[in-house]
This record gives sequence, C-alpha cells and structure tokens, in this order.
Amino acid sequence: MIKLRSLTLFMCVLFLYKNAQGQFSGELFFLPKKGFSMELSHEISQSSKLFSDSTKSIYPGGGKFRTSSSSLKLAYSPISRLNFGLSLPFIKTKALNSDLSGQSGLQDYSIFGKLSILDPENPLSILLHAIYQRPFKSYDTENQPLSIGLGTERRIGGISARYKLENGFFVGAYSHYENRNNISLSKSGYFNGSELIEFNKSVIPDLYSIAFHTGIDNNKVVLDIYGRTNRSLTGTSILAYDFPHLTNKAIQNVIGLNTILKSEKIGIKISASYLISGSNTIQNTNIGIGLLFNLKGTSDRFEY
Amino acid sequence: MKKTFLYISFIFFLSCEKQIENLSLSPYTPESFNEKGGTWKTYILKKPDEIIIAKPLAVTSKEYLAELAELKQWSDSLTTENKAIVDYWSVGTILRWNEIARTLIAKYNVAPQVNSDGNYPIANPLLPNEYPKYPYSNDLYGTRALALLNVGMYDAQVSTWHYKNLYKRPSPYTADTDLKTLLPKSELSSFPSEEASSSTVAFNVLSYLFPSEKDFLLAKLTEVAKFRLLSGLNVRSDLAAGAKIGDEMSKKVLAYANTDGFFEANKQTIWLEQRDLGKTIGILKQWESAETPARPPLLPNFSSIKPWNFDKKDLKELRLYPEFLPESKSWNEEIEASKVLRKKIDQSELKLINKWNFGKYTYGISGYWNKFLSNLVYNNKMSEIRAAHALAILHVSLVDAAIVSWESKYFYQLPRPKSYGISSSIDIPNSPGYSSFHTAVSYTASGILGGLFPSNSGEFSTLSAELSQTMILAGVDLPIDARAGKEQGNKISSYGLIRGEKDGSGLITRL
Repeated sequence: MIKLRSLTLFMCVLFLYKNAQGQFSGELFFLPKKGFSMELSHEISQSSKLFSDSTKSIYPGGGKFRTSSSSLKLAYSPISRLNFGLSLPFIKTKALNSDLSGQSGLQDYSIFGKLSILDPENPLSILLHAIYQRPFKSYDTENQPLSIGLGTERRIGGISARYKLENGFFVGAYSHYENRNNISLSKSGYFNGSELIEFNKSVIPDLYSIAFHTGIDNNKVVLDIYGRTNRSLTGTSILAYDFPHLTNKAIQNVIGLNTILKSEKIGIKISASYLISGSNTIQNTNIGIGLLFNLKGTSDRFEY
Repeated sequence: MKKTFLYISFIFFLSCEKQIENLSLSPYTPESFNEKGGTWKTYILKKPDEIIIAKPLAVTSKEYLAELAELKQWSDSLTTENKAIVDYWSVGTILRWNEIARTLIAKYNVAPQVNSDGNYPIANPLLPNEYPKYPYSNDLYGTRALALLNVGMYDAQVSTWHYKNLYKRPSPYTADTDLKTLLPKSELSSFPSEEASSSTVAFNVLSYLFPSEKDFLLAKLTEVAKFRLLSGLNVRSDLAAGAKIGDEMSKKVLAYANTDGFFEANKQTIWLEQRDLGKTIGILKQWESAETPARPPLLPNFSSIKPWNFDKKDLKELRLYPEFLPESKSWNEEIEASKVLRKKIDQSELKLINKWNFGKYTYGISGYWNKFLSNLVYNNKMSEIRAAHALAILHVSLVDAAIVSWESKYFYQLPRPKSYGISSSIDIPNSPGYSSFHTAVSYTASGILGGLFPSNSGEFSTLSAELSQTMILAGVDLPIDARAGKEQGNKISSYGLIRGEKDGSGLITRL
C-alpha cells in the first residue's frame, strides 16, 4: 500500500488540463510497462449563452464564440503501475457574431502522472492523478472569452476508481482538486461587483470536480458516458451584461461521451460534451476528434 | 491520525493565499499644514467667508468642557469595529471619498441594453433603481462627477481654513493635555473640522450623482464623525461647524451642477443637424454607430456644458480643423496603415491594450488619472486642503478636455477605424473618432500633473503617449484622431496651469 506521505507528495504535484470547459480528464490509455503513446486531437467548443449567477439570464449583446483546440499529448510508462506524460494545446478563438478580434497561441503545457494503486490486471482499478500546468508563454487573459486561457499555474490532484466486468461494462468515478495561482493583470484594477480592486492582481479561484462514468470497454471499442460537475470554491458573480471575469465563482454541470475505436497500434477518438446547467459560466458545446498512437507496447486499458 | 491531519493541512494550505485586497495605506503627518490655505482662490465659492460660521465657544466654557468629557468616553470605547473605522479614514477623507467616487463610477458604468423593440432605454434620475439604473456613469459622467466632487471639497476646505485661522481655537488635545489621541497631533486649529466639511460635501454631491447609493454614503459620512471623535481630534462643535460649511458648499455645488448645461448633453437633435452640415463642408463619410441596432450617440451635446478654465467662445479655436478629411489620399493611407497594424497584434500588445482599456465597469480614463494623482498625494504627504486642491485643478481641466474633444467629435463626425472593417479586441466607444477623447484627457492630465510635480513631468508625458498610441493599436482611434487629441490636451492643460499659477497656493510651478 502506498504510504500517506507518498500520496501527499503525489497530490502536491497536481495535474490536469486546459480550461475546464468540458474535456474529460484522462484521454490516454493506461499504458503497460515501457509503453509509449501519442495523441493528436482537435476540439471545437462553441458557446451559445451566458449563465449568470442570480438571474440565469443571458447577455443578449454578448454574442457567440468559438474556441478551437489542437493538442499533442505524449505518455510513457517506466513501470507497470506508473504513467506520465505531457501535453500542449494550441488555441484559437473567434467571435462569431461580433467584430471583436479572436486570439490564438500556444496555451498551457501540462506534465501529468497516473499511479495505479492496485495491480493493473485487477478488475477494480484505483488511480491517483497528478498534473502540473502552466502557460507555455505569457498571454493575454483579460479578454474572456476570447483570451486563449486563464494564464494561471495549476497544481491538480485527483483520484479515480473504476470497476470493469468481464464483458467490458464498467462504472466508476473521478474527482480532483485544482489549485490555481493568482495572476497579474495588465489593468490597474477592476470592479468585482461589490468593491473596486485597485491592484493589478486577480484571484483565480480553486475548484474541484466530480465525475461519474459508465460504459463499455473491450478490445475494439470504448464507449464512455459521463456526467461531471466543476465547482469553484470561491469567487464573484458575473456582472450584469458583462462577460465572465477571471475571478468568477463558476459552476459547470456537464454531460458527455467519448468513443474510441481501437486497434493494436491506433485508436480513433470522438468526443462530445454539453454544459447543461451552471452559473457564472458560458454555456457551450464541445465536439472533438483525436488519433491515439501506440508507439510502443499495447494499451488495452481505457482510463478516465 | 497525525499524518492524515498533515495531509489535510497541506491541501488546505494550497487553497490559502487567494485573497486579493487593496494595498493598505498608513496615516501620515502632512509635510505642510498650508496655514494660508484660507486665502487660496476658489472655484464656485466667491470668497471664503461667504459661508458664515459663528465664533466658537471658548475652551473654558461649560459646553466645551462637556464636549471634552464626551471625547474621553469615546477614546475608551475602541472596539475592533471602531478601530477599523479609524484605520480606514485616517489616510485622509479627500483620498477616501475619491476612492468611493471611483468605485461608484465603476459600478454604474454599464450601458443600457437594447429593448425588444430595438430601442435603447435611457436611465431615469427620478427612478434610479429601475432598469436601466441611474446613472449610466460613462466616461463623460465620471469626468464631470469627479470635478464636481473635488471642486466642492476644495472650496469647502478653503472656507474651513479661513475660519481655522480666524478663530484659532486650539485642538482638544491642546485644551486638555490628558486627552489620548490615536493619530499624530498637529498645530492646526481643529475648528471647523476639515474632515467634516469635505465629507459633508462628498456625501451630498455623490448622493446627487448616485441617488441609489444615499444610504451607503450616509453610513460613510457617519463613520467620519465617529472617526474624528474616536481618535480624539475633534469635539462635536468642530464637526458641526465643518458640517455647516459642507452643507452650504454642497448647495452651491448642486446649484452649479443644475445649471452647468449637463441636462442638455443628451439632446440627440443636435448631432443630426450637425451631420447635415458636415456633408455640406465636404465630409464624404461620417461616423455610424458600430452597435446593432445602432445605438444613439453618447451625450452628443456634452459640449453644452460650461467650461471651467476657458470661455465658451474659445471652443471654435480649440476644435481644430482636421488635417485631412475622409476618403482623401492621406486619410486612406492612415486607414491602410491601421489595417496592417491590427493584423500584426501580438500577445504583449494585447496586454498593453488591456492596460488602457476603460470599458464597462471601470472608472474610465478620468478615474485612472484620479487614482494616479491620489497616489502622488499620498506619497507626497499632502494636507487635506492641498490634496483637494490638486485634485480639483486636475479634474476641472479634464472636464474642459472632454468638452473640447466632444465638440470636435460632433462637429465633424469623422468615422472610426471600424467603419473600414478594422476590428478591435475591445469595445469601440459609441461616438465619432475625431478627436481622441482618451488622448485629449490624458495629455491634459499629464500637463497638469507636470505643473504639480515638475520633476516627474517626463513620466506623465510618457504615459499619455503610451495610451494614445495604444488606442491606435486597439483599432479605436486613427493617428489623425490622436494627433488632434494631443494638441487639444496640451492647450487645455495650459489653461489649467495658468489659473493654478494665479490662485495664490503656489502649488503650480512651471519650469
């Protein structure tokens, strides 16, 4: 059994992913010892309306926005119970029905690790996840939702559990805590709804996420259906007739699915998610496609 | 168990240090108490004794001794809550009321949204809490608000200083040396209280400008009285005399505000008439609202407002005829250059644009310079009257700059870059481009600040130049708009400096 101290250290390194807009957390398979894989994916996220805090009203003048994300992920397993890897997305944003300029650029790189607590052959799997993420290069964050990201450094720790029957049916859950640094602003201050912050720093609230998964995972196909909630621990509300601010206390309730068609060396992934409800967030729909390459070893264990 | 606790503690630690708070300011002893402040030239008040304050009772009188006894009771009731009040206001009431004004301007700076019938509603001062909330404190509203506030507080300070010198009533701690005080003592007479006079003006003027905030402002005013009593620096009769000056001064400021022409500022017929005139003088392409549906222009008749430092007939000269007109060769070259510039925007330039973007829920460009000068006031340890004076000098000139820029905008109605398909990463102001309001205001500000702090004038000009260039980079202004704004700003600041040099304060010195 892993000792508590080791677990703590692992949790400190923390993990995850882009801007919590609906992706699920662990696209890559859990690799066997000395396995090496790569994923190329492209995802499009389109917003339709804004969920404000108290009124659930939309911002009619806000317009619609599209975010495209192209990502490269690499993973390697030095030992049978440990995978680690890195990822880097290129983001491009666009306003669909206004003249505001979109932005593009390399966003945040991630270094992630997954540790299997139980023997990988066990039908019950318990994984510890850790991700460290930070901007690849400094970028603008103050034109949300057209900025390419939040510009914060993140440390994420999570745990997942899954039970898989012999026929491939599985159920499971995943949860993580995301610690995010405060960031510097170009602006000399901002109004947060109750007070004027005359200081060029912004809190990026920490958040936690809980997801439940079910589906089928066999030699040929993975079908993963999930429901997830992301919740900021602190923060302010979106101001009336305004876009989200970095400091907002966002709640996102998302449903989604991932389908992966597997062969020995390559997998094709199709994903979709939809933000069904929330507050202080932009409602959006995501559709993605990806190619998974098993460059070395086999990867027959889908994990989220 | 211990390990579990450590683990939980670590996770908790990760979520700490998230709170962002404004930098705390410490009270300071002014470098000068400006004993002759009662002789400085005022803006609205004709003379410092126009408001009559009766001679205070002697410090040996029964009534005064009772007030001193009350003060001792206050000093014994310093709860945590009261200490927070003292800490907050001890930085200076002028600085704090300006901070409150900036907050209110930012809070109300959001334009009404279009109705389902395609029209834009107008905020109604008689129904300030109904949508759209009154006021819509846009750049112009905020600019005028800061001028009214600071002129009122400054004039009240001059009157206060006049009576301090006239009556020379000693401070409570001089009258009773056993009295404990929470803040540094001074030689300045405590009668009337300058904090009470400035705060009463601030309460009345801000309540007039932001009627829905009256209860909040009253709570702040009450805090000021409490602060002075708790800190042992004023007795009640000091505060009452200060409040009387503040009340009388407020009436004069509000009378000025009711007749300065602002109520005519949103007269939409003016710009339509001027539009027809523009066509006759060869302006082939005119400004159109960039919003859908087209939003009526922001306060097109703002130039109806009375200028502070120059005569209204000077407006024609300050308007500046454009170097060239739309569709001319030079004009088209500037458009093409702007298109090229916008295509090459990188992330560092986007950050620069954000720095100077004063859109919704901000205190606007005048608020920026207000905060900038407030920092200088604090760093230079200015007295209450000096602080009010510096802020008044700045803000009346910023109103003048707004008037001049706005007059040019609606006289010529030249289009903004957006009319040529040039996009922006920020919202485009709903007004014509020429001349650049942000540039005119900023060069006015840097000129005035250069007079107040001559050794730093280069720094102020650099900031204005950066802002002006950034507005071009952002696709908000064309270079021709910026050049005109700069020239206007320089002229307006000269008017302010000339007045300042003659006001008897010695505050303005030009190298």
